[in-house]
Amino acid sequence: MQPKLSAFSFQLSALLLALLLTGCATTERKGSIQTPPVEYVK
Amino acid sequence: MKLLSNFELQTTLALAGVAPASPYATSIADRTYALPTLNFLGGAFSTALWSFQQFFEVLRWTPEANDCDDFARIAAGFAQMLHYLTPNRPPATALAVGELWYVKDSGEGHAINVALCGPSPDGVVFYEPQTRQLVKLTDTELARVTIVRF
Repeated sequence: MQPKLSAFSFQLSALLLALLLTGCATTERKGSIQTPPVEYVK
Repeated sequence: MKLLSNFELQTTLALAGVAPASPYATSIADRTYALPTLNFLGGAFSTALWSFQQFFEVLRWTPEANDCDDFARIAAGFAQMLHYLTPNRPPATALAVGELWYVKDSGEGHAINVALCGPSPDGVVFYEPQTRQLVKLTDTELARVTIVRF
């Protein structure tokens, strides 16, 4: 008898895979970006 | 606050000698432009641009992937972002900071930024986003501007 993957197990695997891929695809960045207001010519 | 129309911006550029040979090489997308001060461009903007470049780790020149045209594109886009975020921004305006491609006297193609920090041809300035400093173009370099985009 072949073991069957339950729907719950499948969804859990897909979720873990998605989290893993998301984690691999992004880079955590440190520091900050300054956003000063523009000074306009009057 | 001083604003320039699309036509006035293009005319001011031409009077300053920034006029690519092909009319299709100048793209001015918006109807009205606000002008950044020279003090802002060389001061707060440069410091903020550095923080942006550092945050995204795009300070290092890399052939093709992060070279002069990419530095110029990022700097112009960042300037527009700051304009959009400015609380007293004049409504329905873009910021007069653009990209400019030209052929250097050495024969090498290059891309930098061009800005209007005043409504007259004297107000047209050039900015090197790789060093975050104002630069001058020679007359022969001005004559070999290939693309201007605001």
